[in-house]
Formats: sequence, C-alpha cells, structure tokens
Amino acid sequence: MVKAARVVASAAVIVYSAWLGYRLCVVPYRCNLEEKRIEGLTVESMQSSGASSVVRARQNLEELDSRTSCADQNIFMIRAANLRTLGRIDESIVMYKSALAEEKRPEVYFQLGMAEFAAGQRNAAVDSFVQTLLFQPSLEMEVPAELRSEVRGKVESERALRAASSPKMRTDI
Amino acid sequence: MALLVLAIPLMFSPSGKDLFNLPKDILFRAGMIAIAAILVMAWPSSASLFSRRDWRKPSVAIALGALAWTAVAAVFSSDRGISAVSLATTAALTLFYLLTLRLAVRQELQAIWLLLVPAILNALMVMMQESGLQPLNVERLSYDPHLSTTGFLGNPNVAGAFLTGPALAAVALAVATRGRRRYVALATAAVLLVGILASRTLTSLLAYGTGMAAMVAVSSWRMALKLAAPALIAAVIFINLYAPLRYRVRSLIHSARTGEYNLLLTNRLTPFLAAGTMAADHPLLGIGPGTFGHHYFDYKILAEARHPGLVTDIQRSSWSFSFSEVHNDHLEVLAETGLPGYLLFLGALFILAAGSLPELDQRLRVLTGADPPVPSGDSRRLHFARILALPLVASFFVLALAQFPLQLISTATAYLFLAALCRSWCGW
Repeated sequence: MVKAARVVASAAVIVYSAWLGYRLCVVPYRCNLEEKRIEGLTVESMQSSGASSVVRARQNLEELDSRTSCADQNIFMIRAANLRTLGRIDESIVMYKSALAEEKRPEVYFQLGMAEFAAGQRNAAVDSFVQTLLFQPSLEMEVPAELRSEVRGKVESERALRAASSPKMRTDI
Repeated sequence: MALLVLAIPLMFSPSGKDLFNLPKDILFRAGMIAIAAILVMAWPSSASLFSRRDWRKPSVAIALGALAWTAVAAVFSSDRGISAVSLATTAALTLFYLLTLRLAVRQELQAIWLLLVPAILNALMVMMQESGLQPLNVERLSYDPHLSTTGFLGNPNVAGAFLTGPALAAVALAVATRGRRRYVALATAAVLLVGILASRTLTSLLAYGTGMAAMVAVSSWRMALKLAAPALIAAVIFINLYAPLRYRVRSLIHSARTGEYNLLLTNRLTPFLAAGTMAADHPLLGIGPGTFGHHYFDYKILAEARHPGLVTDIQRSSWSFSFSEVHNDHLEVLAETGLPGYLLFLGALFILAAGSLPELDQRLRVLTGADPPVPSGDSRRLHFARILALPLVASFFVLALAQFPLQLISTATAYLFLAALCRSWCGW
C-alpha cells in the first residue's frame, strides 16, 4: 500500500515537473525563436508598400493568433504594428495599452500617441505624448507638429507639479 | 549540479531574439525543476542531506533568512505577479547554493574547474570578438563595435562581471597548489585577466583589483601596505599604455571636472536616484522583488523633476535608457526588499568573508554550533577557501556598485558556486 502510494506520488511529481518545464522552459524558448522571426517579418511588411504589406501584416497576425501562449510586451507591440498596417487603429490602441500594462516605456507611449492621433483621439494623443516627453525629451521633434506646442506646455507644467509634489510616490499609478 | 555550473555560462540560442540571457534562464529553470523533482521523489532520503543542526549554521540560516524575507516582501509587493517570478528565482538560487554547500563537503579542489573551464572559453571568445572575429550570430553595431563583444554572455559588461570571480579563484588556486598544477592555474588566471581587460569593463577591473588587494591582505597586511604604492603606479602606467582604457578614464575625468555626474556614471545616476527614492518611500518592505523596472518610468520622471541637471545630460546625449535594473545591486536589493532585505544581503557577505578570518570564523562557529572544516585528504582545499573568501566578497561588493550580478543567472550562479565552495571548505 505504502509502495503504491509512493509510485502514485512520484508519478504526480513527474507530471507536475513536466508541466512546469513546459510552461517555464519550452514555451519561453519557442516564443524567443518566434518573436525574432515575426518581428523581422513585421519590419519587412512595414517597409514594403501597398497590397503586399497588407497581405504580410495579415499573415503575421494569423501566426500570432496561433501562438497565444506568447504574450509579452514585445509581442503586443508587434501585434499593434501589424494592426496599424491593416488600418485597424482602434485594435492597435488596445494592444499598445496592453503593452503598457506590462511595463511603461517611452516608445510604447509614443506609438500609442501616434495611433490615437491617427484615430482622431486628440486629447488622448496629447496625454500619451506628454508621458513620452516626460521620459524622453529628445523625442519632441517626432511629435506631430500640430500637437507639439500643447504637449511641450503640458510637459513643463507636469514637471513643475511633480517636482513640488509630496516625496511619497504612489506605486499604483 | 555540475552540468549546470558548466553549461550555464556557455548556453546561448543563435536564432532567438534574446541570444544569451533567456536561454541561460531557461537552462537554469529546467535544471532546478529536475533537481527539485528528484529531491521530492527521494524523500525522506533527501532530507538526510541536511541535519537539524545544519539549519542553525550561519551559512545556511542566512540563505534561508534571505529567502524568507523575499517571500514576505513578495506578499506585500506593489506587483505580486512580477514578485512571484522573482521569488521563484530566489528559491531556485537558494536551493542551488545549499546543495553546492552540502555536496562540496566531499569534493576535492578540482571541483573549481567546473567553473574555470567555461570561464576560460568565455575569455577566449571575448578576446576573439574584440579582435574582430565573430563566430556567434551577434549583430555588429556600427556606432560601437565593442558592444558586439559578448562572450557567450550578452555584452561586454556582463562578460567582465562574470569573469571577475573565476579570475580571482584561479589566482587563489595558483597560491594554494604546487608544481604543474600551479602553472596551469597561473595560465588560467592570466587568460581570465586578459578576458576582463578585453571586455574593457571598468567596474570589473576595479572589482578584480579590490579582490587582489584583499587577497594580498589576507596573507599579510604588511605586504599589502608595501605593495599598495607600486601596484597603484603599475595600474596608472598600464592605463596610459592601453589605449581603450586610457580614453575611457580620460572621458570619466573630463565628466568629473565639468560636473556631469550622470555621464561620469554612464547615465546610471538616474536609476540610482530612482531606486533611492523607492527605498525612501518603502523602507521596511521595499517596492517588491523584481519590480524596479515596472516602477522605473514614474520614479525616473520624479528624479529628473527634482534634479533638472539629469535632464540636461540626457538631452545632450539625445537618448534615454529605460532601465530594467538599477545597475547597482546594493540599491536594487534595498529598493525592492527594504532595509531588512539589504541587511540580510550584507550579513551573507559578512558570513562568507569570515571564511578568510579564522578567529572571527571560530567565534561565529562557537556562537552557532557550526561544524569545523571537514578533514580532507587534500589540505590545499582549506587553504584555497581561506585565501578566496574575503577577496570574493570584496570583488562582489565593488561589482554590485555599478552592475547587477545578482540579477543575471550567469554571474549569480558563478558567485554562488564559489561562495558555497569557500564556505563549505572553511567549515559551515
């Protein structure tokens, strides 16, 4: 009886270890390979023009859809770039926001701002560009000209506000 | 375990997006999952690896204490998901350290070659890449070809950081052995030092120099004082003769003179200030293990708002890093796990360093009831551990001031392996 219990327990440990190994080792390894490949194809589709870029972007999205276990910030960014190529701007905005939920980065805010600007969401675009320039002032000239002065003004006032704010930061922002 | 020590520093994936770090992480995870599974299946036999008394020993208790505090900090983390991953890695590293500590008791001095062999291969690769040969699939960056010097590790800084510990171990091995083995160890030490020089990593060179000074001091304080001035003069002459280092040091001196402190610290001042603010905001529990990168965006903006000089530097250099690590493990441990976490970190360094100070080590042993060194057929083992323990701590302390050796599997496992060997052979 004890021996049988040991065999069952050992089998359970092996199965659980195999599952852990799959989740923590096999999936990340495959995603690492796929990410590089699809990123390359996405850059190609963005550099090409016309129908071929649309076809390529659609194929990229189909490939990404078949690999749902790969979901890190870079994958969200790749997905968003392909959606923009297809003109599906609202969906790309959702992807950029998912990427920001992983980690706030200036390049993600910048691309989000560009997508929001393209979608006609002016106020949201200004907010995204303000976040971009608060982190990376050197990107100012990349901001669309019609928003630049408004964004610059908001960045300056936001900086002054933060400098004078209480030293305790909120960590849930 | 031996396979992990051998293979982790050499593991890379030529066709992946992340060529070096992720493959090493994956190998480490796979190895530790397999080891943990074997230990669970071998229960209760595996429990006999550690007796009840063992858990009270300082070198074991401090590791378990650090793990326990990481768990507490993870529970109260600002992002429990990220901290859970960090906690799992800490648990795996603790298991790696404890098993090495236990298994090394019966191993002879040759066990050190498990780490020295991959270190030599990495040093040779660094030298090849620095001389223009690129056997790995690493993109050659036109704006700074030196960044393509990666070894099997990722970038010049990681390569330099990884080689520092094994380079000191090779010197200690040369001191502890005689005859042909001494010459082999000396040749290894020379190759590894050239590897560090080829990586042009100032922090690693400084850490290596500090470790060597500590090694001389462990043998004789008087000799250390006598050698200090000639060593300093030799270092200055060498820096003047070796062009890449000469340019690097001159640009640092220029930054210091013009008050460009962020450039002096290669733009690390901003993450340092951000981490300091995080620690001040969360002094007891920290912001959560592994979460520095997640909060860096907001804290960087805050730091720059309070210190406008930082922004000027960035605008001038026209780029701005999004740091995922502080590039200072002292501040990262403090920011992520609070003051108790950092005190445990310092305590672990102290307990390891005590291996080089027999009187202090003896007092600790009396206080905690730890075992004396296990007799070995090879007395050079104890000699080696006594020579290396304090220099290892000194070099790690310096390395952790401007890099993040604890956050990279290759450097973390290399230092933990050496620490466990030293502690095990000094009596744990």
